Amino acid sequence: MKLSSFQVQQILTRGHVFKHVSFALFITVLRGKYLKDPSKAALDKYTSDVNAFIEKNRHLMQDDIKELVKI
Amino acid sequence: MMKTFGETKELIEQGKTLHIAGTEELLRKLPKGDWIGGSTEYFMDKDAGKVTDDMLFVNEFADYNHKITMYDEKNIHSVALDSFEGGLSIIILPFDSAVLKEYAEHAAEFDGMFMRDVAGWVSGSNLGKTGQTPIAVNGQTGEVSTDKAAVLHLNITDYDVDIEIVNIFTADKNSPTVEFTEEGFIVEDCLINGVTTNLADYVRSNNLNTQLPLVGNYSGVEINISCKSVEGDKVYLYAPVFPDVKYRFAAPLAENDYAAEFRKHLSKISDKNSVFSCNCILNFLYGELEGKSIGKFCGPITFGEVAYQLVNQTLVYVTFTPKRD
Repeated sequence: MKLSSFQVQQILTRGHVFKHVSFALFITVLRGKYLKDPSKAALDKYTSDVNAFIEKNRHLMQDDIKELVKI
Repeated sequence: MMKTFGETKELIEQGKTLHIAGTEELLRKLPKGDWIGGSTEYFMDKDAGKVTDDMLFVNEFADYNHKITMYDEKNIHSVALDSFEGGLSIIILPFDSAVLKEYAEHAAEFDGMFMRDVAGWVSGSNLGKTGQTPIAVNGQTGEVSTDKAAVLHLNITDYDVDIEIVNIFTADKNSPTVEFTEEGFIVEDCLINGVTTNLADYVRSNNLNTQLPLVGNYSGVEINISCKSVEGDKVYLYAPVFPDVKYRFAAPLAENDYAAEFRKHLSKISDKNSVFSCNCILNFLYGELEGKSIGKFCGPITFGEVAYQLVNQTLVYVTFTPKRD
């Protein structure tokens, strides 16, 4: 699965909760970065990073992926 | 698992790739080889928590391609970039060092962090003995350092690596929310239920138990921030707090029984694929875990734990799961 920048923006602004520890930490860090720099270029980078993270860890975060596809 | 000095030496001489925890004195005597080490005298063994200066805790890794690198506060920011793609990097940071401070405050911003897996611990010493120094060791070169982190970068090609935590604390539902406007280890003012308040005054006037951590909600995962001391108008913490995270004070444990709480949490978790774990000295001391079993996850008792970033009062473990595809 690949999330759009709109979906990633929703994740970073709406306070979703996740089960996979690494993903939850990662998103919390990205949220801090997004609050400091919400520019389109930065959001594109966050989106790329989120998609790379999901691709790398997709077998380990199935529960979270089920929630992510609903966003 | 726990090994004698002789058994550990033998593994090194066989060319094994090892992560070793033990006293500074024993680590300094080990021969050169493919290992990193860090100092502690506290351990969680299969049968019970132990304090010993004549045994070492050893994790043995298969013959993965690997490299060992030392980092100071100036180049620690490249630790994740140096990690193998899909690999695991085990980091040991000496307590009270500049590299630990840099890592604690900025690891989350390091390039590549979270894209690569970094777990590990903070080395220390026996709190009841004088003359010991927290160290990290590069076994390949024999370098023993009080101010550099030792990192074993493993190239894991046939497994999915996952870093997990076990936190026996949970936020007290009756606690006010605590928020911070700046990140850092030393806190003066914070927002308690949105009202600017001096945290030290609040802790004293409410007679709060500082053995219980602040618990932050990191996107649904509870992360602890432990209190080192309350002095004057400042609260000194073992890990930095961050703005944009809502914290609450932790709920007390039932009968203050840390071992039972760990066993309860760990009963839901398999340690079958676990290759590394560590647990916090504060859990060990406050929970009086010496002589008590928590059931699973043996490893060093540490002065800070790393699950990408520095965490506190937490059990960190790493699993290798055979790749699917």
